[in-house]
Amino acid sequence: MLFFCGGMFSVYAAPAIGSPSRPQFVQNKSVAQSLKTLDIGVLAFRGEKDARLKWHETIKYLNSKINDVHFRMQAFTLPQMRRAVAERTVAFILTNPGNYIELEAEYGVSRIVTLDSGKGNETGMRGTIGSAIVVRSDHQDLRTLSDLQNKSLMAVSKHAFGGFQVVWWALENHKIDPFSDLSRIEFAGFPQDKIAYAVINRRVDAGVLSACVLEEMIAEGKIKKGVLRVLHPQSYDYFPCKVSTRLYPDWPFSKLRSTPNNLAKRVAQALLAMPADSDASRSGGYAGWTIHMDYQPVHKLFRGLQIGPYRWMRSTNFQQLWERYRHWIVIFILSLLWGIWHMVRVEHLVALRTQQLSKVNQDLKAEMDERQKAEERVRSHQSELAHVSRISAAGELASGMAHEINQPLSAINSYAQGTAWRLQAGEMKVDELIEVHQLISRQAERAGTIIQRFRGFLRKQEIICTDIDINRAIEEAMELFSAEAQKRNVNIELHLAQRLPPVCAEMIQVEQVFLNLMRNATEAMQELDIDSRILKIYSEDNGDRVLVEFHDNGPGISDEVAAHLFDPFFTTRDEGMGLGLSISRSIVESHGGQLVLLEYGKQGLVLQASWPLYKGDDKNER
Amino acid sequence: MNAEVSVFIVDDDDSVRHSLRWLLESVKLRVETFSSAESFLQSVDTDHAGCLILDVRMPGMNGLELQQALIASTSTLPIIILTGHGDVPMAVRAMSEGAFDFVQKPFNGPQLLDRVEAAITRSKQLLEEKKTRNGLQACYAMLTPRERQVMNMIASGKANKVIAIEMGIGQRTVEVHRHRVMEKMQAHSVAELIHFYLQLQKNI
Repeated sequence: MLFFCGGMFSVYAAPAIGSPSRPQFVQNKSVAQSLKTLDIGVLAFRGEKDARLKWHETIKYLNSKINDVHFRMQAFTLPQMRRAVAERTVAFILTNPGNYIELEAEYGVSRIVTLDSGKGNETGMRGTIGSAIVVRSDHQDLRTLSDLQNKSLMAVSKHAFGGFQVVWWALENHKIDPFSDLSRIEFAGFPQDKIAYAVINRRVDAGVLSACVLEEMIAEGKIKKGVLRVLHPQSYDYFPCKVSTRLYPDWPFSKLRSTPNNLAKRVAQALLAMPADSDASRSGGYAGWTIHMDYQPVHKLFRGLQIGPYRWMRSTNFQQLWERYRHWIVIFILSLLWGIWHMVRVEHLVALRTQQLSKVNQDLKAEMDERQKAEERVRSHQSELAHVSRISAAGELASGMAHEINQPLSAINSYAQGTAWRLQAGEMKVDELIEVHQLISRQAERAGTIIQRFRGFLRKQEIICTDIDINRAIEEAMELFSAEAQKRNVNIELHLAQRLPPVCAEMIQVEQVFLNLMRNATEAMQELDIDSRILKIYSEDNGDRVLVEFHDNGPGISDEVAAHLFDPFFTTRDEGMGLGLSISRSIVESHGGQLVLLEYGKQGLVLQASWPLYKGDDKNER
Repeated sequence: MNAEVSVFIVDDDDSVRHSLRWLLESVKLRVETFSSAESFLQSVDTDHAGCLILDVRMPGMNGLELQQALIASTSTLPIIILTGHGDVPMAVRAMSEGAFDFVQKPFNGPQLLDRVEAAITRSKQLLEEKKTRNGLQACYAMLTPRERQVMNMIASGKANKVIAIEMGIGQRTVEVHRHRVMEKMQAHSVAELIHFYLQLQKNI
């Protein structure tokens, strides 16, 4: 035989395909060592016994036609069928259209032929699956499908195609939801005979039977004719049984995706070639097999009911959602729209405010810049003034000194010249000469005294010593320094005594000292965090001196640096002359005060300046 | 003559006064010293021949103020201002008010002496002029109003005829007035009369 010789499916030729790991090709040693045993799953909708009776001959027929494979029947319920397909323990399945559609969608099962029930009198190319809703014949209230509202209904299973789903779809088309519009729905399971009996026994108002089951039962004598009738009967000229629904294609014979096409083709050919009067068709109660039919109507039904492969639609059907949750959806959309509007508005407002703020900010910044510039101008102006006044004070001093010293110089000159002229005239007496030389000498001494005194002034500044308030000097120095302190982010805290007795010093010079100390402390703290750059300035009166202390938070200095801190030209910085502290000390000392380093450890430097109290008239020798 | 000439020194500084006296006396000048402007004004005839050596900077009345007082009393005494180092502006002011000269301390002797001698010469000259002027004024005072009028017109160079017409008097009368004027003013020529006239004008 051609198929046998050239077939892909050969026990000997394809060890990979025929590998024992493939469940559908498990070798059945009890049958024949050399033959593959392939299982054909059959839906046993009326029980396994019934199924075996019905399909035994068909399997036998296949075994007789195909010699290299041994087919074996497995009767399955719907869940068993699904599992068998999922696990591929079967090679072919024979199941109802609904089940087929599901398995087709989920596991790629494909039909190869469709059962010809023979109920059609023509080609068998039309549907033969349908349902009959049976009611007791004496139940007069039930005439149409709509009459089923609030009545009880029994069917075989929710998943049975001809046994329920076909009716479900028909009811849906009559606006009846079997799960909410009926008083009760019951699923009795196979065999369907139970349903017929339940209706007869009035346990339920109506029952769903697959097409022709009623007729078969009557033929088998299980129930009497006329006890039950079919509700809403539809008649099809080619179809001998009464049904309440339209007709769908009959059972397909399908192959699994993993089953070789070649074998499937041979099986299909064998089935199509089955004569109508064979044992197989006779015991199966069908006429034979025909070309596989179009299962679109089945699809349509499933889609309509949103079951099987269309189960997903159930959860996302907008119309249903709309019907059920209309109010909530409206509220949701409205609040969403409100939210969007609100967000857009807030965004807009934020943008607007941001713009305004940034403009205000810009203005402020410009104003601050302007203010800062003005402050800097004032500061530089003030320091210029201080400088000028210091210069002019020095000029005044020099001028005063020149004036004073001119007197003895003039006198000396006059004495000397007068003496010379007298000597020239020869009228100079010795004692006169001695006298005038003593006068000259005295004038020279006087000049020396003047210079001495001015040097004293320069050193002690007694000539410009006035009674000043040290607190005021601190505050004025602070004012001069505030711009720089701000620039360097140093916070200067003043802890001043309430009242200080006056000390004898020169304001500008004391301010100069404080400025130097502030600048030193500020520079010492540049390495610190902004928050810890704090300079504390204390002032107090201890009874005979006014004390001012500068405490900075800087890193402190070494013993060596401390030893030379007040030396002129000693500096630890690159910029600067190293004169600040030296000058400051000499200024303070010129006022009779002291400038000393109290502490210089890790806590920072403490510098103390002190001045003796001002004691009125005896302040200087002027 | 030198006996009538004095050098007055006004300075608050004793040593300066004393040394200047020593200097100037060595060249036989008569020296009088005062420690203040006030004491000078009280005791000195400001039309004395000589000169005044004046320190600008003094307690009480200072040099400039003394200068103003002397100008007010029409003193002829030349003033030599002594200035210190920073007093240049004061010296400039004194000069613009008519001081004879200024000398800056510390001065040297010969230079100062030179200025002093020049001042004394000037003083004599001024004093002479002042005396003349005083004489002229005394003569002028003796003229009648008519004679003064005629003198003014002669000084402006007008001829007798013009004077006669302008005054509405006879030419002869003009000649009589003219003669009288020449006589009273002790002028020997018209030129001298005009000179006297100008001298008088200076003082009025």
